[in-house]
This record gives sequence, C-alpha cells and structure tokens, in this order.
Amino acid sequence: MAPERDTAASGGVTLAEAEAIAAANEQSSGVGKPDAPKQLLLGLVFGLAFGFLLQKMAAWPSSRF
Amino acid sequence: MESEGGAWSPYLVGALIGVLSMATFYFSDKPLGASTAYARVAGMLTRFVAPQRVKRLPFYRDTEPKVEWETMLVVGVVIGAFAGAWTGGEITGTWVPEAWAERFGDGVALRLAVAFLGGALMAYGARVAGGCTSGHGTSGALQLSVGSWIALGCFFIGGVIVARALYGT
Repeated sequence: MAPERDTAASGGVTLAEAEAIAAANEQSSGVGKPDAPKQLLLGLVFGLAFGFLLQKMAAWPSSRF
Repeated sequence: MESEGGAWSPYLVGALIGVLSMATFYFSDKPLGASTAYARVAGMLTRFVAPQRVKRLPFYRDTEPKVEWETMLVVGVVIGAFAGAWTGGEITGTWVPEAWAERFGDGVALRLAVAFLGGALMAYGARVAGGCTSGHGTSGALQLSVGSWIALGCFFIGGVIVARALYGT
C-alpha cells in the first residue's frame, strides 16, 4: 500500500495534497518572501537611529555614572 | 541635554532607545535585535559553497537566509554609529585603544584577532541563547521576558569577569 494513497487515517487528504496545502500556507503566511521595500527602509532607518544612540552613549566617561 | 564632549548621558540614551524600541514594534512589528541577521547572512554566504547543506539545516527552514528587516537594521547600525562618532569628534584613526595598549602592547594584529574571536564567541552565545544584548537586553527585557532578564544578568556577569581577567582591577 503506498502511503500517499492512504487517505483514511489523514482525513481524506493524500500526501501530495498535504504538501500542496503546506506550500500554499507558507506562501500566504509570507514565509520565503522577501520583506516589503517599505519594511526594509524602516529597518535601515531604525538601525541608523539605534547605531547613532549607542555610539553617543559609548563615549560617556565611567566617572560620570 | 546632559552631554560630555560628544557623548550623551546613558540615562537619556536608554530612554530614547526605549522609545525607539516601541516604535519598531508599532511600525514594523519587530523587536530591536541583531544576531539573527548575522545567522541569515552566514546562510546566504554558505549557500554559495554548500546550498544543500543550508537547505537541510532545520534552523534555516525557520530562518530563511535572505535580506530582510533585521539585516537592514544591522546595516543602519553601522552607518548610524559612524555618524554618531563623526558628529562627536570620536574618529581618531586609532586601531588599538589606550587601555588595551597598556596591558597587551600596541600590536594591531593581536588586537584585531582578539576582537574577531570575541565577536565570534558573542555570535555563538547569542545563537545558543536565542538572542543578543539587543534582542534580550533591550527588546526582551522591556517585554518582561523572564529568559531575557536572566540573559541580561548573565551579560553583566560575563562582562565583569572577562573585563577583570583582561584588565585586572
């Protein structure tokens, strides 16, 4: 008996159908897709601010804490 | 605003990073964090020489090697830090910090090798812990994640131990 034909124990879904559903779910959930250009730009802007702030703090003299 | 030379008060910067972190959640639904970006870039580079290996690793099934929000965040951090140093007059062209030179000499190769080793150890630790000083120390801590607070305490303990081992009292 080929496993992919055994549909009784899996709610009537063959292995090939299950793989197709999983692939469709992945696609709809955004897995494997690059982030939108707007989000990439936001990441860059947030990174600029984060790096700037960290550097501004780094040079603070320990005697001033 | 309290400042010393080009530096800003850590208390002020801490508050601003808190605001920034909330902004990343609001506008991008992402936490401030950096270490996963390194893992993604490592995956992208490894794909050139061993694509099947990357495909088989369970980590890269969940964390696909690609340029995404966090990768751009890390690029921005480098540029932003340079801008911060530039505006604060901190770009001196010095390769070896004074404290390091006093203890280990002014050899550039040793300094770079130890810095690289430290970075590699930190990256490994961040992957094992599921986050770095940004992901756990900033984003996780402000969400009151227990794991992040434990990691945060360990960052300080590890930092104190290594600093004392390297530089003494």
